[in-house]
Amino acid sequence: MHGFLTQGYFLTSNHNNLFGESTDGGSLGFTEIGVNASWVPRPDVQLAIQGLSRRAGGAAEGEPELDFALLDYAAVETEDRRLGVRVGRVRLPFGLYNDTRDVAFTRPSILLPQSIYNERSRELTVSADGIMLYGEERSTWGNLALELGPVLARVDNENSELALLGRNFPGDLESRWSFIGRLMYSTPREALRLAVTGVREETDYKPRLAFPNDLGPGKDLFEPVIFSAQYNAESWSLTGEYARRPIKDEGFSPDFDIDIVGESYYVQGIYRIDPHWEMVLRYDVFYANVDDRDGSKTEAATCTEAATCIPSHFQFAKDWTVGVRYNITPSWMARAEYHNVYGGTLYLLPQDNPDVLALDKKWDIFALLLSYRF
Amino acid sequence: MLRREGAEGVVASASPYFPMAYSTPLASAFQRATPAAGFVLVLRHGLVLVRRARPALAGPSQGRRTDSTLQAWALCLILLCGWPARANSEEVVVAVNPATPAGATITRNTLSAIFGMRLRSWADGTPIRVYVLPDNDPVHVAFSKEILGVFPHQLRTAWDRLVFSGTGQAPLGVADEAEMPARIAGIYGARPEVLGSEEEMREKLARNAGAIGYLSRKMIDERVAILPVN
Repeated sequence: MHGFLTQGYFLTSNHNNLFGESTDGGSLGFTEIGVNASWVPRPDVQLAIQGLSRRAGGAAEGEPELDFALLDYAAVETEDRRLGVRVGRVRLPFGLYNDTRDVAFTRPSILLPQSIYNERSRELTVSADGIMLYGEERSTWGNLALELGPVLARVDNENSELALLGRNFPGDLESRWSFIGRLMYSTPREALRLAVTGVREETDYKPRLAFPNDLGPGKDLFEPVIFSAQYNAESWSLTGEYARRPIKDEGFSPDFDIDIVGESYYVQGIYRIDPHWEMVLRYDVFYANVDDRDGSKTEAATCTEAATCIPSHFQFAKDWTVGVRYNITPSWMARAEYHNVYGGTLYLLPQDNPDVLALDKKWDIFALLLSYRF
Repeated sequence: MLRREGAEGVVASASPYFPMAYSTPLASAFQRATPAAGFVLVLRHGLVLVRRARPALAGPSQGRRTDSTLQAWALCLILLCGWPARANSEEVVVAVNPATPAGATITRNTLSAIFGMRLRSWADGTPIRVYVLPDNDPVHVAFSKEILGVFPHQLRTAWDRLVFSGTGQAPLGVADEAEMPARIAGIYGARPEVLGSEEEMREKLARNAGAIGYLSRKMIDERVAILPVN
C-alpha cells in the first residue's frame, strides 16, 4: 500500500487566477491525496487500484475518483523480454510524466510543463478505460518498450467540456474508442531515453436541445504526437518534449467548427546539488494554433463583440520557470518555484477565470509545495 | 580506512553521488593523522578535500595555510595515483537467501531486470523478493552505480512509475545494512548460531526462498549467500 499527500500554495500577479483566488494573498486551493494498493496473486498477474482526491481551484473540489483499477497479465516475462496486457482503468502512457502526473515526488517541478501536460485538458489524458498491450525488449543495443491500446477517455464531465468546447453546453460528451501508443527507446544503462507518443482521441457531442439553443451533434478529433527526450547524468538531467496537437471539430455549427494545429515544447534542466537539494530551470512554450501564434487573427475574428471575444493572449503561453526542491526525508519533500509567464494565458483555467477579458497578458506565479509519501 | 559513520568530529559527507566506502593508503594516512592534526577528509562530488575539523575539536594553532596545503597534496596524489581501488571487504556483492533458486551465477542483464522490478520470478517459478537499502545509503549507491550501472535517482524514478501507475511494485525497503541479512534470510531475532540445528535453519531460510539483495562483503554471514555476477 502506497500513497501521497500534497498541499500547494499559489500566488499569482495581476488578475490571473491559478487553483482558486490566487492573486490576493495567494491560494491554498491545491491539494492532492492518493492511495493505492496492489496484489500479486501469482508472479505473472497483478491487480492494482488507486483512489485520488484533488482540489484544484474551480476545476476540482476534492471529490474522490477512481484513478486506476487494472489487471495486469504478463504472458511472457524473461530477463530480456516482456509481453502482456492491462485491462481496466489504466493511466495513459503519454510523454514522460503523465503516468504519475499527480505524484509531486515524481514531477520535475510543482507545476508540470503546461505545454505538454496542461491543466485544462487533464481529464482527457490522465487515465482511461480500456485495454493496454505492452511489450519490452532489452538487448545490448538498448531497450525498446511499447504500450498500445484502445481506450475510452473520461470525457463525460464539465472540465472536459470546458477543455474541448470552451464552455459547458447543454449536451454531453461521449468518448468513442480512441487509441494511444508510446514507443520508448533507452540506451542500455538508460542514460538516454527517447520516446514518441501518438494519440487519436475521438469524442462525440450529444446535444440535448435543438439548434440554435445547443450545438449540433459534433465530433472532436484530437491527434497529438509527442516527441520526448531525456538525458540522465549523475547530478543533472536534461529533458525536452515537443508536441504537435491537431484538433478538428466538425458538425457542431459552421461558426464553431475548427481545424487547427497546436504546437508546444519545453526544455528543462535539473541539477541535483546533493541528496537534499535540487534545482530546476525550464523554458516552456505553448501555441494553440500554429497559424495564429500571437493570437491576433483570433482576436480580430472574435472580438467584434465582447460576448464572443477571445483575446490574443489566450492563444499562447511562454513561461520561464526556476524552482528548488528540498528532500527533507525520503518521505517528506518541499518545493518553491517561480514562473515568469512573459506572455500568454493559454493554460489558465476558465473555471478560475470566468472573464477572459480581465486577464493580463504578462504575469507571474510564485508557488510553494509540501508533500508526504508512504 | 575511511569510516562511513565516523568517530566524533569526522565530517564524513554521505553524498549519494560518492560512496564513502573507499580505502586507500592515502586515506588511511590522513585518517590516522586526523585526530592529532585536527583535519578530516571530506568526500564530495568525487573530490577529496581535507578540511579542518570543527573548531572545538581542532587544535588551537591550526592555520589556513596548512589546510590548503593539505588539500592541494591530497588532490595532487589522487591525480597522480588515479582513483583508489575499493578494498575487498568494502566491495558490494549480491546477496541471496541460500534457498533462492538463482543458480551459481547471475548476469548483469538479469540483475537489471530484477532490480528494475521487471522480472518477478526465478526460472523455476519461485517469486523473486527484492530487498533494497535507502536511496542515499552508500552501499545502495555503490550497488546501483557499480553493479547495475545506473544512478539511484533513475531506479527511484522507475520504481515510482511502477507503483503510482499500477504497472508494478516497488522493492522491499530495508532500513540499514545491518538488517539486510535478516530480511533476506527471513530469520529475525535469533542469530543462526542459536537455532537448534542446521535443519531448523534450512527450514526457516526456505520460507523466504526467492529473496535477493546486496551487502558489502564484510557483512556477509551464514544467513546469506553471495551470488557472483558474471
